[in-house]
Amino acid sequence: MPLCIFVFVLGATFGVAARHAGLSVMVASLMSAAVFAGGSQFAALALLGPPPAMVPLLLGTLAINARLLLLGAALAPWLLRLPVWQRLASVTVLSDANWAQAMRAHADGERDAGVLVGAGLAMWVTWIIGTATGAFASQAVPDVGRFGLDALLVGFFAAALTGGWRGKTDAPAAIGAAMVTLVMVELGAHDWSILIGAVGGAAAGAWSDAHTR
Amino acid sequence: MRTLVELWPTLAGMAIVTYLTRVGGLWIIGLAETTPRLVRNLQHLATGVLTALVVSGIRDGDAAIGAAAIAAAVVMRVTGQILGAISCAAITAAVVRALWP
Repeated sequence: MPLCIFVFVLGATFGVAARHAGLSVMVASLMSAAVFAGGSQFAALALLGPPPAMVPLLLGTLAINARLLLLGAALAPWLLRLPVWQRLASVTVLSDANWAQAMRAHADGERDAGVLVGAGLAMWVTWIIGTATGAFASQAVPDVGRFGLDALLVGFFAAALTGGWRGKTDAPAAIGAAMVTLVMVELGAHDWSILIGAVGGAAAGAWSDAHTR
Repeated sequence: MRTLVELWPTLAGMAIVTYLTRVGGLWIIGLAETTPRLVRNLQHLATGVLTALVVSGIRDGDAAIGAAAIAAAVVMRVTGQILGAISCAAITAAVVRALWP
């Protein structure tokens, strides 16, 4: 499945970035197993300290993964017919790709939530193996800067931002976030700059929506 | 080296928060309709988070990191391939550092 190749390579990229942030192979792999949400894991590396900036880190995790709320809400008409324990279990491996796949299957008449869970489990296992592989392999590279491996993190964020870019509706949020982040860094609130910048950007986006209709 | 002894509360916290976002969607649908406005605001939040991470990463990094971010954005824009974009970011940073050590 081409999707699993993608998950493996992105997992390996996370493994390399995590090692660069000083995480052991085991901690990096455990994070992938326990969290299984790429964007928030990459973001966490920026706030791990030492010491870890717990409150901004957890609020940032919430902000980045808030989109999973929407994915879950879209699945609700389907999953709410299951017993509670099956609902709770089937969303543990919910992520963007298997959600999209399951929604397509549902539209085609599929009613078994196993399509969500099966693909999710395959991606989860691949994500962990990818992370461990990347983290382990990068131990062989002493100078990450020389190979540009420390640019993987910002490269991932820049690519994700560009990939989700919907044109000028997104501009106020991006400009607002950039300005607030820089101001916060100048004020010395480095750990909080990302979260407050993000909220400032979201506010600018909402304000612009309200004034352009 | 950062170990589990130091980082387990962070890992546990992230896992709990993320699981709540996964399972929470099933409940918010019962509490309130997901309005187009809520969807838009969550999308603005996603744009805000990613922009803040890019800006803060570039500010903390050297010129090679800035060039890498631009390369990733351009490659993503042209090809739509996230792995290609990330690879080009690393290559760009390596090349910039090799040319201007």
